[in-house]
Order: sequence, then structure tokens, then C-alpha cells
Amino acid sequence: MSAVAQAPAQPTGRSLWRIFWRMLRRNRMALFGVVFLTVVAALVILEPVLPLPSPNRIDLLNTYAPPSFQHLLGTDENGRDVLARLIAGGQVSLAVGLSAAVLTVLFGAVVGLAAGYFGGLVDRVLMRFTDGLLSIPVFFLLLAVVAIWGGGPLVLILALGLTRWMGTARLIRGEVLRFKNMEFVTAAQSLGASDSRVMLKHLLPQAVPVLIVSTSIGVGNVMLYEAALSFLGLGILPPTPSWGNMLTASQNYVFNAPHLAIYPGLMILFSVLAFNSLGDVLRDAFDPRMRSSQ
Amino acid sequence: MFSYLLKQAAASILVLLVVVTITFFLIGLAPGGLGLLADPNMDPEVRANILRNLGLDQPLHVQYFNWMGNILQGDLGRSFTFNRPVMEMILERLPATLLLGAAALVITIGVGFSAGVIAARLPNSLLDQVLSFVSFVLLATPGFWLGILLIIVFAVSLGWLPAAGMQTVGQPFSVADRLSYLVMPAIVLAAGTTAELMRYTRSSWLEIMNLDYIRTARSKGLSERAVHGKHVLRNALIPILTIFGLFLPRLVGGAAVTETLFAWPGMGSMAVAAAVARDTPLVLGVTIFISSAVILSNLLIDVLYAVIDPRIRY
Repeated sequence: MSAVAQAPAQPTGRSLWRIFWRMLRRNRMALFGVVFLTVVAALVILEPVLPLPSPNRIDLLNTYAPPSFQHLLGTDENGRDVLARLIAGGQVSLAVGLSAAVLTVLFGAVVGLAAGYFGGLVDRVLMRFTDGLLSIPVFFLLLAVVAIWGGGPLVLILALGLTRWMGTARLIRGEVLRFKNMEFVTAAQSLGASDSRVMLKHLLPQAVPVLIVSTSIGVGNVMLYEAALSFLGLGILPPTPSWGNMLTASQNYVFNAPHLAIYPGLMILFSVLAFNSLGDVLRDAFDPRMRSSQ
Repeated sequence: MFSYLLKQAAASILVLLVVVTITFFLIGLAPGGLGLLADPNMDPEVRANILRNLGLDQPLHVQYFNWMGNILQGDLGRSFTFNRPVMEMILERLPATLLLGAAALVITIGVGFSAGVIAARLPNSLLDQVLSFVSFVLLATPGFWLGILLIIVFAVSLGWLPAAGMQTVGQPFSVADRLSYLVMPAIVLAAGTTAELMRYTRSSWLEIMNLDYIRTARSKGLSERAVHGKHVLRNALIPILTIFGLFLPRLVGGAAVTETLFAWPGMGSMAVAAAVARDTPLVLGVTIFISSAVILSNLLIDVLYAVIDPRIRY
């Protein structure tokens, strides 16, 4: 998001930034998403100074309390403040989502750049591996590895980062193939630039739009996996709240407090919607041609 | 053609072996041991016995070669927690998962494809906008949360459908009974892929409508029905087959969560339980079994390509 914001204005008078704003205003879902993410990010960052009860303070005399001034969204099955837990859970869920998405894009960029640039055997091996990984249901392995290494944010970020990079790799490879025979690449090569210099200085910048769009959509994708793993009791482990593990067993409290099953799910839904629609807008802003390919 | 297909399948199998090997060592090197051995008061002799029986007293690489040797001979080993052959346990759970997966596929194709065609036939209409909004939201909805909401509404509040299991206890099997248990998990499992297939169908349908041979078909006086039913449909099936291959692993992964949520006695819920119990042979066995099935069906899809599209030659 901010990377676009800082892009230098182009002399044509239609800077990327302005195109982005125009696209954003047209797409109500993305506009809502940006507002939602801004509010959530503010809450999540300001959490330490907000006048909220501790998210882990148990009060067994005050379980399933309805909303009140003390507990704006009521309390859960252990009498913990739901709003405080939602915000603390947001810290974890968003941090894991963002970091893992960045990691997937990093892996994808390395594989895609190498495959597209070197071509030949390197390309064949890397792409066969990428396609092979796409055809294996790695979710079970993810379950096992995360379960055994004890969950937690770091394990989740690594596990998701290592298993969800394939789509990005293919996109980046496509971009590299589009550009690698163009004059500016040939020029750099004939001036004696090394392979790594051509890849990083000349080809990678061409793929930046794809990288940014992939990251935005990747955050949503990874957040869904984090939520599912945490829901199963394998990702972020209690008492640390995450939006996924707040829903574990929530269907059992339906009679006492149906809202416990609603709020965390809505937070996941809105966040993923926001990142996905933001990705769509960014894609349209960067390159109208990319619209038809998706 | 076959040599190309075989190469593709061989690559997938190779990747599977690599991934499974990495996972084996990731699990083996993890701190802590089997859940089975968690009891701190266990007699050391009993403990040693259990370890020896499971082959866990040997160095990790020996365990690996023993295990891999058996796999290559088609033996998936024995479950640590149940001390039963993994293959036997998988085959026991397979029918339930197949039923759920088939139901989800039927929903995906039936609803997703038709909704996509409807949206493409009426582009930018209100219906198109509603459908695309719904599919966008569905793609961002965590499946298990959709399941929880369905349970709250249809099982708890309305009491129309059972929330968990596959059959009413003590009742003889009946189709109506089975369907009442099947309907919610199948919808939950199919939600994401249905939404995606709809979007994909819509865009590929619209893209094909703009191609020259469709204009030719129209200008030679074919009815709209013939144009869409014959020319567009057949060509729209090709890209749709492609994402089908990508759906299979996703459906299977989704089955892990869905089956657990609805206590559906399939392979997915078994794998989740096995992962929690650190039952390495069972988790890896399920993965290998399912992956082989997916790789096989991808082969089948590649063959179907050539059947549907005479331009494709391998």
C-alpha cells in the first residue's frame, strides 16, 4: 500500500497514486476495506495504551456478560473481555498474515526469477517442482509439522511461507519471460552486467507490481490458513488469542452467547475481503492488461 | 502423448517423495516425543518396549530408510497410536471422505459452473453483480466459520439438520438420514471452490464470446442457443478443467477442517487427530495416499484435455 503511495509522480500528470485513488473510489468494497484495515491497524498498534481490560484476565463470576460500559462487546466463556481479545487476536493474526505473505512473495520471487531468467534445465526443474507442489495436498503435512513444532507465530509464518509461494513464483516467471528479451535487458547484459545484477536491478523492478498485488492477495490467503490451523488447535495456541482460535468450540456456546461465534469470524472475513479487494484495485491501477488475465 | 504425461506424473511423484522426506525429518527432529509416551510415571521398561516395538529406538536415518523401503513396496507402515496398519485405517475411512468429496464436487460443478454461465450470459446485470458479490465474499469466508454459522442456524436454532456425525445412532441406514448429515459439510467444503469456479467460468465464457470463431458461428446464422450450447461451452470447458486439477488438493485439505468440525468420520478428521497425536506414519500415510490419488486424477485430466480439445496434442 505505502509503496504505491511513495511512488514518484510521473510527468504525464496521471501518477500511479492518483490512478490508485480513482480506482479505489470506484470500488466501494476496496474503499471499505482500506477504511476497515486502517481502523484495525490503529487499534492493534495502539492496544497497549487503550483503556481496555487485559485480554487474558479471567473472571469466572462474569461469564457471557452482555455488552456494557466495562466490556463493550461483553465477555466470553471465561469472563474475558471480548473486545480486548479481538484486538489482541488481531495483533497476532495480522502479524502472522503479513509476515507469512511477505515470505511467500520472497520465495516466489527467487524461484520465479531464476526459472524465468536462466530458462532451460533450471526452468524445467524449478517449474516441475512448483507444479508438483501444487498437486500435493500439503495441508496435512502443514498440520503435522505445525502440531509437532508446537504452533506459535514463528512456526506458522515459516510453515505457511514455505508452502504457499507457488502461485507467486509462476506469476514472476511470467513477468521475467515478458521482459527478458527486451532491449534494456540486452543492453545491460552487453555492458557486462552480471546475471544477478540483471535479475535484481533490471528484471525485479519490472515485477514490482506483481509482487505488491501478490502480497496483498497473499495476506488474505495466508490469514485463512492461519485461522483454520488455529481453529483446529494447532496454530496460535491459547491463551494467546487469535481470530481463529477464538472460534474453537464457539458453536458450543451458542445458547449462552451466539456473538462469540460472530465477531472473530467477521474480523477474519472483513480483513480477507479488504486485502483481496485491495489487491484487485492495485492490479487494475498498475496495469489494465492484468485485469483480463485473472 | 503418453511419454509427456508419464514425465509429468513422475515429476509429481518425485516432488511428493522430496516433500514427504522433508516432513519425515521435520517431525523426527522436533523436540518432545509421542503423545503415547507423555505419562511421566511410565515404567522405563515399558517405555523402552514401546519404543522398540515402534522401531523408534533406532537412529532417525535408519527409521527413515526402513519406512521409505516399505513405502516403495506399497506398505504404509503401522500407526503409532493405534498399532494398526495405516493402509487398513485409510481404507476404512475412505468411503466417508469420498462421499463428502463427491458431494462437494457435485455442488461445485452444479452451482459454480451454472452460476458462472448465467453471469456471463447477462453481463453487468443486477443478477451478475449479486453473483459476483456473493462469490467474492465466499472466497474470503473461512470455511470453518461458515460451518459454525450453519450449525448455529440449522442445527441449534432451527433444529432441522444434525450438527455432527454421519448417521443417527441406532437407526438403520437410510438415504434421507445420510443426506441430512451430508448437506452442511458438503456445502461448507464446496463453498470456496464453487465461488472460484463461478468467477472462472464467467470470465472464460466472456473471453471466448469475443473470439473470431464465435462471430463466424453467429454470422452463419446459428441460433444463440447453438452458439452458446455448442461452441462456447466446449471451449469454456478447457480452462475449467485446468483449475479442476488445482481444486482437488484444496478440497482434500479443506476436508481436514470440515470433517473435524462436523465430526465426519473420514480421512481428514483422522489426519488431524493423527497430527495432534504425532502419529507420523499415519499422517504421512494419509498424505501419500491422497497425493497419489490427486496425481492420478491430474493424469486423467490431462488425457481429458486431448479428448475435449483436438488442438491439444502432447
